[in-house]
Amino acid sequence: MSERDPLEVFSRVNPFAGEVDAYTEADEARLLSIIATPVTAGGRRPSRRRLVVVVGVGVVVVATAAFALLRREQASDPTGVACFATADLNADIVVLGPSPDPVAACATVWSDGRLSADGPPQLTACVNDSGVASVFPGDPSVCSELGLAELVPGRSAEHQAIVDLQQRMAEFYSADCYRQPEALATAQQLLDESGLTGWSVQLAEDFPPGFECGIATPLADARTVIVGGGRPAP
Amino acid sequence: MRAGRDGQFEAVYRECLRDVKLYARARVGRDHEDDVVNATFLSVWQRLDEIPWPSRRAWVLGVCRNHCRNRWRADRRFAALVDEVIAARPALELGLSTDGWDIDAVAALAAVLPNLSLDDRELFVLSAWLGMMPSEIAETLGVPAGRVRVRLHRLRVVLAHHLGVDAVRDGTA
Repeated sequence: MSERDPLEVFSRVNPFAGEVDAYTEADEARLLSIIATPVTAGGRRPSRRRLVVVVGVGVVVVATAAFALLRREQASDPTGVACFATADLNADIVVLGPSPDPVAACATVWSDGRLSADGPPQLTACVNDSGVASVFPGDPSVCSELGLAELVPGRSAEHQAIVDLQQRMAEFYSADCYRQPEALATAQQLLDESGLTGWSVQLAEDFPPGFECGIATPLADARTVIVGGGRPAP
Repeated sequence: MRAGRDGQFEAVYRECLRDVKLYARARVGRDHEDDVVNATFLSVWQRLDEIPWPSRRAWVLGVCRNHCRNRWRADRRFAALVDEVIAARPALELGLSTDGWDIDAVAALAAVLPNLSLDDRELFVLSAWLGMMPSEIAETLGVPAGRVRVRLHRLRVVLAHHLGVDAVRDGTA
């Protein structure tokens, strides 16, 4: 990395660094205290019985609110799918590539244990504030409860072109090692061939040592193809 | 080193403790740092079996981030970060600190930090101070890596402007 990289210059201006580096007696005491804490497996989730009671009490209110707030729209960013562990925008997520069926894609994540040891629950696809398809556990009312629109399946022609470009770029850049100038030129060529208009190619940062081979991906919201160093040279 | 589950936790704890302390201190300040660090590693202990081992650092930082976000009001986010850097400037100018800081860089950072958005301050801490790669930051924030690269590019432009250097170039082919 260059001496003139501002992040590197500012990395040396850190008022906390010296103070947090040391492993103190308090740190060791914390470690011992935590290890002595019983593990409560599954403690994060409410029991089935409790869940039924909550749903039973709130069903009229929730149903009314959901009907009043229901919105449905397509994802404006088709380049990925976010799978949420709980019906909470702050929950753990797994980000996947594009999929024509976000619910089925996230069900696979649940089935292979990446979000839970349990099998997939009922899942519903919404659209988050960034326009990305976001799949939550719950029935279709979960979208309105989170203030989100319910996802309308399908893609416009432009979205299909973005997804096709994303897949083409993934194939190109995984098949060969494109160093920085070639990676930029290849991205521009693939963008030109995609038929997308009003887009540009941008370098995220100079390829750092150890990441000599480029990767490129379209960012729908910025109408930009971003190019960066992604992996070491073979 | 301990054996079994205790040993696995101890390894994660020792490996990630510095990063969690630094992130927590920058975000919620010294008064609440301990609470966040305790809550973070208690969550890690309870969910040890869920940790994606190859990306454990990003995962633990994500847990820490959630505890910060859930417990403290937005107006306190990264206030400590700004205060500490600004407070360091006069001390350096008076020659009270000799730990090798570049006084011009401190002045530049003190000028730019208050003007960064909360998201950019977070990005700065993760990238500059924790040395995380864009892919790690993406896992911590739960957003695509490409988006992180774009945001880092923009952040570099802003920081370079305050440093008075031409550190970022357009990448248009």
